[in-house]
Amino acid sequence: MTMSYNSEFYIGFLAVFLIVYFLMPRPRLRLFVILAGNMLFYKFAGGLNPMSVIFATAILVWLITMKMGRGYEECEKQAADLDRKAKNALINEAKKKNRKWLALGLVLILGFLIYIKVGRVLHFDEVGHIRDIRFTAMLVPVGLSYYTFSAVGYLADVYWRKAKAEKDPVKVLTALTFFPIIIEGPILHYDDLMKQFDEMPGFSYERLSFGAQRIFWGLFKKIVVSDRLAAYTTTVFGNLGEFFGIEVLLAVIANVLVIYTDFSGCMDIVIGSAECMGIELPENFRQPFFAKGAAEFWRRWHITLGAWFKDYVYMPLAMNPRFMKWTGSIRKKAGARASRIVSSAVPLMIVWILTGLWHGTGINYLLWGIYWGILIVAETAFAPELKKIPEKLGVNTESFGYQFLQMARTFIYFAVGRMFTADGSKGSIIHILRQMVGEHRLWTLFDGSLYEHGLDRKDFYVALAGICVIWIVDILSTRMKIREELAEQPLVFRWLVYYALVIAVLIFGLYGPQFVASDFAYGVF
Amino acid sequence: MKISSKVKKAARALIFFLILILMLGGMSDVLRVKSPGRAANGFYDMKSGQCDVVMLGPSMIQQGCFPLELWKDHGITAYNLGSGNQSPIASYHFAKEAIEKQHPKLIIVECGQFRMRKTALKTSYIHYLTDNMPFFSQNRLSLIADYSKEAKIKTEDTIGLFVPLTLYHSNWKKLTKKYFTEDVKNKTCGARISTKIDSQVDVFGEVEVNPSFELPDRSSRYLEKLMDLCDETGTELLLIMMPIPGATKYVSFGSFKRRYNTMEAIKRIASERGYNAVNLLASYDELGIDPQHDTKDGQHLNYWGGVKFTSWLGSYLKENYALEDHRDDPGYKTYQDAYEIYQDYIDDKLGDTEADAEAEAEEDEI
Repeated sequence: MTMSYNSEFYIGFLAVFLIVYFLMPRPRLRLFVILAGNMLFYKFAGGLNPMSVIFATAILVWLITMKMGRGYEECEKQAADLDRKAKNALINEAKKKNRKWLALGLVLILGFLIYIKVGRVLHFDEVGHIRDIRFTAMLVPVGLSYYTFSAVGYLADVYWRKAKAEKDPVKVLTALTFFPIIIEGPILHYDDLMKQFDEMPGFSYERLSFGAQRIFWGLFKKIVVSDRLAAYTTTVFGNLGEFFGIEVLLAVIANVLVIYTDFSGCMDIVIGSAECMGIELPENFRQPFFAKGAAEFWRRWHITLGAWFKDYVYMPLAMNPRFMKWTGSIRKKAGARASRIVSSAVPLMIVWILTGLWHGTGINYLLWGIYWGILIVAETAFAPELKKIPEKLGVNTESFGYQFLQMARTFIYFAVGRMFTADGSKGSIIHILRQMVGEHRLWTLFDGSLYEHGLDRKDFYVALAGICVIWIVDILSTRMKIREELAEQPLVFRWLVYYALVIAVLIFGLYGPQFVASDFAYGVF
Repeated sequence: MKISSKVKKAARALIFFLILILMLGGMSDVLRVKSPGRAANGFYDMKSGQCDVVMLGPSMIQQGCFPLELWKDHGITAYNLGSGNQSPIASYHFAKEAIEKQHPKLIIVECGQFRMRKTALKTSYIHYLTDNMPFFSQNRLSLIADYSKEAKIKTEDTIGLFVPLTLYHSNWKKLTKKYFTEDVKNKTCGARISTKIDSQVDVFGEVEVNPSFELPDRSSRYLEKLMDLCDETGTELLLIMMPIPGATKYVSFGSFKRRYNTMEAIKRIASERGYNAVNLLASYDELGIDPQHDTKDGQHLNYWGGVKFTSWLGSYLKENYALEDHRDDPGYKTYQDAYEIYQDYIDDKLGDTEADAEAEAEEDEI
């Protein structure tokens, strides 16, 4: 039996875990229960051998941050009676010494991630046991990209003195292997998580209830909507040469909805699971398709990835003295605007190239990253000109229609972006566009043949109804905290809503012995 | 008295889950597969206390023993709860269920599966048995628990047995009136009847009895449990081995010998406890069964074989058990009505073409 957040096995595991967790009288004991839960989860999700890689990473992170932290502590002791200038000099000295530890950590941890990514491009084997490891036979832990980024962030935060080094290795190990986030994130500041380990509250009816609601909402998105639509998109993109026109267009649109409901559904399950324990995780989605531009979209989609790149790539680059000196020289030669454009465009393009490579190592992922980079840079660079266009055309930019069209444009941006990677091939977008314009096949909308490609008519209606429900909930989420609002409603009304959600998942969900719990799409990164 | 908010919350949560479980049971009941071939289809429709005889055991008895023939000839009210590959574990729990629901005077158990050292692994067999049982039936839950443990069934399959909704939920696409009204009625009081004839049967020879043959542990255990159950409830128990006319792809001579010796061992145990046990495995002549006509596949009796066997059984029951003839009792009109439906069903079946009979026989194969 394999563990996946959308499997009955996970629900059973979580139920047993929470019972044991709530029986513990103190936070420290609950910490050990979480650690045990992490190991058990990973045993079924990835295997004990790959887990040894994460354990080794956790120990390495702890050792390095302890080394850096001790250096700063000694420095602070010595600087206690010094003036500010002397204190800063001492700290910079300590920082210089810690640079080598940071570099060691980054080389080893990021280096392993890069090795895996390159290995995949070169088609190295992936093995499941330590004894089978060779240079061209890799042991790949599940959730590698996620915990690597979180670990790198923690190392950097300790180096920059934004976070204090955690002395307790159990906390570091528990944070790095925390089962709700290990497979698909969110990417978080381990420091924030470890602070919550000190306070872990016991049983709370409200937290458990809210957490359970969130989990079921995530299951609704994943097993009712996402997996259902995926049956169609898999059929079309798996046999692209046989589909044309509207069939391909619908697959592209459905693919956007699949990835949204799959990933955000996973986040709901994960955040809900942590909420049951009394642990707060950062949100990863904020109604992304309500965004009115590319930049805004990425502040609403996979929020923690964007925040990580901003904190650890964009800002260090943009604030780098040499880079600032260079953009300063551009200001002198080409003016303030040119300097402003270059100072944001260069780090942005680097961020987006790396973001593309984080998602995958093929040329199509690189092109995907460049695509988004160009969109965002253009939006930022030409913001004044773009603003003037509707003004000149006399369009009311506050109107619902205009804002709706902006949101539709964002959807199209994302859909086009998905075409770079949808069929898994290098020339994915070219293949898809060629098939889309080859023949329109509009008759398939009316003669029933559209329902012969993995999604029958009834499934289509269920998926459509599901999307409408998700859309309504997303709209309501912008105006209120839905679970809190629901909790204020009369008992009969809220129970009707809860039962409707549970029954929808139980009846319409794609689960059970005849279905294999399909992996979450972002779990492969 | 002021109730604390913790108690109120606990009570609310409990009520919420109880209602949810009731809904799960109701939804499982609506969405499960409805087929006359499934065990217990129709059993729960019978008026309590009216069924005097219940048959249990694997497909040999399910396909070879016709309750409504017993009604026709002797006015005996009976129901056939046999099912494919029904193991001793299932027979025991079903016996409990039958006793609780109908208080029969006699339980007949076909002992073919008592020869097995291992429990059959197919969960589909258990679904055949348990899906039609009431969702909250204690016997259903304990049958699944025992069977899952003995057969070492996978956890996800066990969940599917306890909560059939996890298996059948996608039947929402097929929902028609029949799923709500359960009008797919069993017309034969549980028996499965085939009009296929296999005329190429090689008849088995004589079997040398092995007097030191011992039943597998699990079979002994469940035989003792069955007899204890009948002792406690004052129910009569008849243990039989149905005739197997000849060699088939399912029954070799080795298997035939094992069955024979199993029944002889059961006879020894039953006689110590004062219960009747009859070994009819090779009793074709005594039963008047023609191996070249009265079997659908060499192993299972067809309609003609079943009528002959049931006729013999009726006489045996009349001689050995005090079972009432209810044919003139107006309180048993439903049985007469059931017999008329059965008669029409048989007439239709006898009008089936050979191809229909072949197709149905293949469909029935489990």
